[in-house]
Amino acid sequence: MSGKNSGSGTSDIIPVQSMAAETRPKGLIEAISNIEYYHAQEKRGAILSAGFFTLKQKIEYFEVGFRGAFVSGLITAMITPLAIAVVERLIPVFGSSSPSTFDKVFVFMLAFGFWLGYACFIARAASMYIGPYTRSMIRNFVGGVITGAFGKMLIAFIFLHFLCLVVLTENHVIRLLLIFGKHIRTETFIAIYRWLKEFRPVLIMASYLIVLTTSVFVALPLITMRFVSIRNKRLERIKAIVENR
Amino acid sequence: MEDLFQRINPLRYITGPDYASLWRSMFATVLQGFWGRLLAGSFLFLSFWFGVRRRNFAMATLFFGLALLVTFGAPLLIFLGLL
Repeated sequence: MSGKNSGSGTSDIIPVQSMAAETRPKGLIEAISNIEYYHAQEKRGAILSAGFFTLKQKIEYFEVGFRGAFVSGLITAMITPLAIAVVERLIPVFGSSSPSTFDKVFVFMLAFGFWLGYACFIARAASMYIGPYTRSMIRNFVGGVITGAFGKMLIAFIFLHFLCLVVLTENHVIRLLLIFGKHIRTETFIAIYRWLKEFRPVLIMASYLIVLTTSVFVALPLITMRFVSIRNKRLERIKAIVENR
Repeated sequence: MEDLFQRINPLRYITGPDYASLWRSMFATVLQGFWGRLLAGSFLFLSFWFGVRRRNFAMATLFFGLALLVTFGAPLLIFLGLL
C-alpha cells in the first residue's frame, strides 16, 4: 500500500496488498513481525487507512492472540497449584522437601515463564500503537489476547474452586481413600488424608494468584497502548505548533 | 537366538540388587541435586526457545513435559518407593 499525490492535486491512495498482509499469521512472532512491518511503513509517512485491514485479517489476528493467551494461560493454571505447594513445602522439588531460593524461583518460572515471555512480546507489539492501520492490527491482536486471558482465568478459577469445594471435600476424600483402603497401610491412609487436607487451600490460593497474574498480563499491553497514544498526541501537538510558526 | 537373549541380559553380569541399585543411583543423579536442576533448567530454556522463537509447539510441549518430569520426578519416585 502506498500513498502519492497525482497531478490533479488530489491524494490517490493505491491499496497494494503486500506479502506481510496476505500471509495469515500462524503465531505470535509472525503477527508481531507484520505489525512491525506496517508500523515502519506508517512511521515513514505511508498513508494506510484502517479500512485496508479487512474483517478476515481482523479475525485472524484476534485468533492468534486468543490462542496464544489461552494455551500459555492453561499451562500456567495447571502448574500454579504445584508451585504454591512447593513454597508451602507440601510437594518436594528435585527430591528435597526444603526448597532453596533457586527451586522456588524455578517452579514459578515453570508456571509463569511462558506467560511472562508472552506478555513481553505483546507489550512490544503494543508499543507500536501508531498509525491507523497498525492501530487496527494491534487492537484486534490485543483484543484476542485479553479475551483468551480472561477465558482461561474464568475456566481455571471455576475448575480450581470446584476441585477444592466439591471434589476434595472431607467426605469425598475419605470415601475415595476407603475404596483403596484395603490395599494401603493405615499410616499411608492417614498421611494421604492429611496431605489432601493441607493441599486444599493451595487450590484457592492458586486460583486467586491466577486472577492476579491475569490482571497484570492484561494491564501490561493496555497501559503500553495508552502511554504510546498519549505520547503520540503530544508529539502531534508539538509538530503542529512548530509548523504554525 | 537364545544365546543372544542371554548375552543382552544384564542380570547375567551383575546381581539383581546391584542392577536395581544402578537404576536407583542413576535416577537419583538425574532427578536430584545439581544435575537435576541443570537438566530441568535446560529443558525449560529449550521449551521457551522452541515455543516462542521457532513456533514449534510439539517440541515446546515435549521439553516442557521433560522439565516438569525432572522437577517433580524425584518426589513421585520417592512416593512410589522407587528412590
